[in-house]
Amino acid sequence: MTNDLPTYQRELLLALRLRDVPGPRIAEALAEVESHVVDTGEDAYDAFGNPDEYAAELAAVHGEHSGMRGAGRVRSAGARMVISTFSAVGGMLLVLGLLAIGAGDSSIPGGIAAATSAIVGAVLLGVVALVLVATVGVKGDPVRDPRTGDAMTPPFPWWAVAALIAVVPVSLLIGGIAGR
Amino acid sequence: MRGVLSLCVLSIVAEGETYGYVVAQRLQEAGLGAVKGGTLYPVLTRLELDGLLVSSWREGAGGPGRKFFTVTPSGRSALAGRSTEWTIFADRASALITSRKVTQ
Repeated sequence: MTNDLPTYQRELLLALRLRDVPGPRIAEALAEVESHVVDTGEDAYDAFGNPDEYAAELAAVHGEHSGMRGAGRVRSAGARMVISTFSAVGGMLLVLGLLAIGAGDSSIPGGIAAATSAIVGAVLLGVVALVLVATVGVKGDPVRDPRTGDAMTPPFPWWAVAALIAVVPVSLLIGGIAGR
Repeated sequence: MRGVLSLCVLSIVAEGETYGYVVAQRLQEAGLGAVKGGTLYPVLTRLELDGLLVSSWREGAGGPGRKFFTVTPSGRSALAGRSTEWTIFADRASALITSRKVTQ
């Protein structure tokens, strides 16, 4: 029942940050979700719906009181585009570049140099990581648990970091095997 | 219908300090259906931002703590005003609906 709670809270946190909802309000929303699902035994997704839509609703409530409705949306769209486009293109370039290097090819399909492809891919993924860190953990506007005062911004899960690092040797290895 | 839900929630909190889950239960007991958390908390938040309610977190027994809501003096006067408006509106609406039924 509450297994999905941390995932829901993480998604809601990011969605609210992307909409420029202030840290203290985000913290309240995250704590409300937790308190409610613990009381009712409901699944967070059932009780509060899609985190993105719930964030939009909360941002609208906040916007009515701060008079800054449009700004959040523009930033949200921009950050969203950077995250999705850069991670897709960056991931592809990095893997293709590494596969080519592993196979001993000098370029990837399309004629781009393998090393250039891998470096550009890694830079794009780095930009994505920076945008995510900047969006979730905005300095000077912390998300502190209203109950305990603890920070509510989760660190990147260890497996995500491990998977990103593992891309390099695994791609080189696969490229090497395929190139024989 | 959101305005009516907000009025119902304000009226429940005005009966005595309470928290989200109990408000949802009271709405259901009153025959207003199951109101999801995703609908209820924005209503409570709006009432709080409007200064009609205040909230405070309190430690729960073994649980993660609960957010208790209390009505403010301006919440009480808003409740009185909106209740009157709602009663007038509901009376007129039902009078209209009933008279149409008779003429048909």
